[in-house]
Amino acid sequence: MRSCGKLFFPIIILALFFGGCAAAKVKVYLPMEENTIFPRTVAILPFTIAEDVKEKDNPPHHIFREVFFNYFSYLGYTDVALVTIDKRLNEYGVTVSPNPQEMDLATLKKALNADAIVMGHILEANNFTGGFHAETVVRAKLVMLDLTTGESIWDVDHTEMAYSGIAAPSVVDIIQEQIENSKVELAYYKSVEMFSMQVMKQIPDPAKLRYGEVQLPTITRIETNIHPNHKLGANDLIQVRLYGQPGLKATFDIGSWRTSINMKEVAPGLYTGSYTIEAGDHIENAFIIGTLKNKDGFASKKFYKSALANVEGGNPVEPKEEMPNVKRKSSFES
Amino acid sequence: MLIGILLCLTVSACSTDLQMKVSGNLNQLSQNQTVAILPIEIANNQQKETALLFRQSLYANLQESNFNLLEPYVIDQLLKENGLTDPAKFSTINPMHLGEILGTDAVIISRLNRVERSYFLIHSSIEMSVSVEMVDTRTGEILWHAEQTESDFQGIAKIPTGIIAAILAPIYFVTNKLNLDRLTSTLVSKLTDLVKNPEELQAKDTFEQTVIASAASGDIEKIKNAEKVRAKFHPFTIDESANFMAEVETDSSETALKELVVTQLEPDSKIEPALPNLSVVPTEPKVASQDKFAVFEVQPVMFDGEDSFDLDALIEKERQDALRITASKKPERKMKTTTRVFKQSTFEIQSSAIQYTIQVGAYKTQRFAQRLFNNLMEKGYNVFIRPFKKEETKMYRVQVEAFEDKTDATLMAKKLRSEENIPNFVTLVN
Repeated sequence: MRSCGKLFFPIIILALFFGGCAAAKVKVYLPMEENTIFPRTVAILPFTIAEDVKEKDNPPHHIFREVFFNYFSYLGYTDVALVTIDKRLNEYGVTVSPNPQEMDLATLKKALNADAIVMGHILEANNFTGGFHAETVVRAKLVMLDLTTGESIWDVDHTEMAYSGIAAPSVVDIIQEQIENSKVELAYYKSVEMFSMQVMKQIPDPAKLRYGEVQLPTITRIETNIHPNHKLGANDLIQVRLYGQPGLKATFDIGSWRTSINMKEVAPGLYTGSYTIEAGDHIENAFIIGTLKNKDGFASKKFYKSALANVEGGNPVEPKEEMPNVKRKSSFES
Repeated sequence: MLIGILLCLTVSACSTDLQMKVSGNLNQLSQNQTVAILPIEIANNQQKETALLFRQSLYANLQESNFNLLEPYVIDQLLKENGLTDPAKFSTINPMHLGEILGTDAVIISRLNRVERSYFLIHSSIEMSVSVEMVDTRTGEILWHAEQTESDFQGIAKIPTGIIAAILAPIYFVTNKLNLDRLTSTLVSKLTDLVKNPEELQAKDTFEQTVIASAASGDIEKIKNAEKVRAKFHPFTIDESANFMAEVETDSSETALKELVVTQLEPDSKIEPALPNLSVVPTEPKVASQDKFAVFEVQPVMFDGEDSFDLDALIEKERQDALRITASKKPERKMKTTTRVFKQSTFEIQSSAIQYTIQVGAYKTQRFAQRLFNNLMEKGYNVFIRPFKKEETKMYRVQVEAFEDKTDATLMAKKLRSEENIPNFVTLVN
């Protein structure tokens, strides 16, 4: 008994030492290998928080959702932007996170225009700093649900804990972690980031199923009216023609100096646009770069390499007091 | 005692060595611009997992920046399609080329320099060192360059709370994988802080002058030189510039249709040697520096809308175009359909006395000629493939530029030898 007593304190220290740092375990119910029709578009719904969670001032579920989204976007899903999700839910009169048991899946699928959803529920959240003790705990359950079948694809119930106190191994750590833990929002951010990093390693990533879908729009060529070693002056036009796939959105850049200048499709597959040099404009040796973007957001670029744009628009014109702000002209600005 | 603890806190905390410079132009990136985080270069395979974690963390942190990020699976696939699978080579590739491959405005090229865990009795440490560079693909400008080393340790210097802690803490610290995750998270958070909040930039954080990536500067210089040569033989005329858009306005639909064509040769058709026509006759085809050829027999691609657009046909046309760039005389080919005449290029070399060109290769295999053609074309040279027959064997000459003065041609030949390391000789175009 005496020897047990001697060991009691070290055992407690060791238990505390190792206890709070278990890795998250994600249960995968729908392995990607067995399912080629894997959900593509995923909406991360607003996370909810248990009513009895003490942390009323800085509830971490908003931070958690954003951090999780940032990490989840790395995977090969098409992610619906968080603001878009909130807006769409709002249009359906849902102000908090919808409960799939209350809102049928078909409606949810239609509302969000997504194949699957991720739901997050914070079961426990605590940030405490006092004396020798500092801890931030976040326990949450995350589920990814297929909106077509209603089945869970994966779920995880994990507690992420950053602890510092009597069991901490060093005095320096105790003081350091006390300081860091007192910044509540940052402490939660770190905890949910660790949570997300761990979960990310185990979530099925459909990237390899999507490699075949990656196809950039075709640009066959780009032409401009700029000539080698010719400097353009005020009121001169830089004119650009882009040939490529029809029906897409085309823009051109003058280096990084003037960007995303809209072009107009004047015939199937032929896009034209121009930029009028203004007084005060100045740029040396800039490439003219055409960009063609399709509805999936894939963009192609082509550089015009036969000449570089050199612009010397002279001194800028002093604006008159009555004059309204003059916007830079682009012939096809929308 | 208190002083000792404070001293320990100062020197023994998780340490960061961050050297970073950014360009003022970083602020110009907005949601309209897309940035690609390329796969991370690693020193050995043991760093693979950490590199993935670092890339993930970089991606997650930069989601909060002003610009848009290209999805990693798209990047990986496009790089693979273009044979760029070795991250160690990314920094040697012209960023403009990467921009064309990926369709992005900037790329982030990173390297995991060191991931080190060490343990010695009552002391253990983890150290991670990275270098990151963001390059504007439109200009070659380095927008962000950072070298960072992040390290943490457990040991006597942190004043252990007891003997057990002094012995066990270093072991636990170095063996727990989560500590490396934490270190990565801390490192990336500090690394990306200024990029996420460019409004906090101070003068000391910015480059004193514009810095161009070395992989880009060489090619830009070559293009500038080629420009000078071109300017000499193709002086600017106001009429030419004024006519540029007029061409589109008067004949836009016709021009577009002509662009969206594919040539289908009969199986037994023969490609005759196609030589540039050096005399400028308005209705006749001429050597085109950009348009590649002027007259050609084509078959329009049928399309009733976007869905039926024949992408493969268009790609095939591009390939065929490259081979036909010198077709100044009307090629004698068996075509399936009617002949169409291409509109004259605005970019034609309008000299009637061009005689000299630089031959950089002659191949029996078309593919090899095409490879050299692509390589030089990419660098901004005007390149031509000219098929010819030698003892009944079809061959392909690869020639660069065209000059009326032999001295200029010789100068260009020297330049190609010294800068591109390509053996060559000056020859007559005809």
